Amino acid sequence: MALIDIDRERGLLTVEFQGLDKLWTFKSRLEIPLAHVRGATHDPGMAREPKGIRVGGTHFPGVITAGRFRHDGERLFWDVKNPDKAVVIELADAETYDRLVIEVDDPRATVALVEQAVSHR
Amino acid sequence: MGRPRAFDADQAITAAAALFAAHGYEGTSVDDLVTATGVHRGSLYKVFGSKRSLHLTVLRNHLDHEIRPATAAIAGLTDPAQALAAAIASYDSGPAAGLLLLAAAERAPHDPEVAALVAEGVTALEDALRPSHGDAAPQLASTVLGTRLRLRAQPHRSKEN
Repeated sequence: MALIDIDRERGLLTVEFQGLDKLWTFKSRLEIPLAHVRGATHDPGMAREPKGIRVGGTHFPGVITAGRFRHDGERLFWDVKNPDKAVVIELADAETYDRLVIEVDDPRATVALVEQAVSHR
Repeated sequence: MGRPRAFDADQAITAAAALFAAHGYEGTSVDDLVTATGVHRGSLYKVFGSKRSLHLTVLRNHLDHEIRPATAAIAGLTDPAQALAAAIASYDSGPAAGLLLLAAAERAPHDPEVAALVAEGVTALEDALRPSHGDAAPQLASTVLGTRLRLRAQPHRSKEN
């Protein structure tokens, strides 16, 4: 579980990992420039996708997927135990990741927050 | 971003439009979109960014390729009864019939970008009815929307119109 927030002053999307998720993901926090965020989607089915190769983190299939993965040439960051609450955040021109898959407490609110913060056109 | 797209984005938009029109925005999952478009989940995200962004693209496409041609045809009619009948039969129709109506009811109250696209579609209808109905065009536009809604509410309605 993580807390996703928008830091408007610094123009950042922040992901704060809660409790033991800091351990599983090897990270306490991610910061992504808002200009690199393309959108957010509540996507419980994402967890059934092939995870690819674990680069750094933790993967107990069916229990937890956390940390950095490579799949089809893309770099994904996962932090999901409960797929029902998984939110996919698509990134552009990112130095670090192409896509984040993060479990949050309230997917609907998180998606609305991120989608409001990024303008599509 | 510069990688070539391994699928036809227009085809994916058409398939997504039919889903959104049949099941609404919330009723259409990414799983549904992946299945109906035949596009890999990763590619869907890479091309459209998010489900909301795909929905906005689908709405824009519906406005340009269904609503606009229909309203242009209605605007060419000067007989009031004929224009009204044509509007009821053809407005917000096609393979994704009702997409605009559904977006108006479901998403527009929560999403200013959807609300703007819906307003654009409704304004196009009002403008199209002006040559035949003059100042009463906005009222007649509401009649058209209401009638389309009542037609949609009928069980066992035919697939089109």
